[in-house]
Amino acid sequence: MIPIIWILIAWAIIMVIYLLMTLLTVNTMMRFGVARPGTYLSTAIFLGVIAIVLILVGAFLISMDWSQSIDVLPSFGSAISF
Amino acid sequence: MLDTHHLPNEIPGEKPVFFLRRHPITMMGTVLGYIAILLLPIAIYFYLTTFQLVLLSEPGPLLLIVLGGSTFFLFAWLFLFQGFLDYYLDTWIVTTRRVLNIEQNGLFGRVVSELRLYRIQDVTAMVNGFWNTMFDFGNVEIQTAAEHERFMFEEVPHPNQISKAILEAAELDRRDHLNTAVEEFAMADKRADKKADEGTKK
Repeated sequence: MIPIIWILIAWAIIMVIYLLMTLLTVNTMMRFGVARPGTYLSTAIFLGVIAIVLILVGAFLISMDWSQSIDVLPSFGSAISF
Repeated sequence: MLDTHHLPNEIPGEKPVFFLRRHPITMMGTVLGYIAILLLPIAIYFYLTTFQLVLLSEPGPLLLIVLGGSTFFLFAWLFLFQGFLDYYLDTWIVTTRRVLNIEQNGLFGRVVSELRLYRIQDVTAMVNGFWNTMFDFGNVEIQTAAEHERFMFEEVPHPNQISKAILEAAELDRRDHLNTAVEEFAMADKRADKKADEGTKK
């Protein structure tokens, strides 16, 4: 049994790495991209989709009861049983 | 940011003629591949809501599915944008005085090379293949007086028109730099003669 908050912490660490990669990507676009509307528009769409996904995930996470635990192994056991 | 009206190492009086990228159709394979990957978590979600409702009713598995699916989607989205970045930042700029070749390799690799128009000897447009012919895109190879120096515009739209325009612009620029151009071409001829002599001796 593992508390589900651990899963959230693992996901948060992955998201920090993800946001760093996003920052580097946007920085490259803004530094070397041509000063034209296409550059700003594509970057805005890219960041907009990320924001929407994170807001939706955030809304889901708020509704969770974080005092619960998850039994990982029996779930996998039942999944592979015939 | 790169401003086409204020290019790096700007030469006084130069004006932009062409701003080129690879034809957008060359990105189609990558985009379609990533769209299929991006749709995967959404398809799995619909499968689960239709056939595995029990799984979604338990908070633990649901959390794993939501966090795993969103992470997968976000990374696929990031890699798609990085693929687009690779396409978008590879540019060729032709001005009235020079050709700029800007090549982006991933996030941290960037090569900027420059070629003066009066040095251009020969321009070749190449359209090979069914899709290239249908959508009129291909390579433009620029040969200079230097022995090994070659510029290649890869998969750009309307290569024949571009090669013609470059030759015309080079001709105009050569008139302005007649002395320098004659010297360079004479040196190139000498090098070619020397090479031919060495070949005959061997």
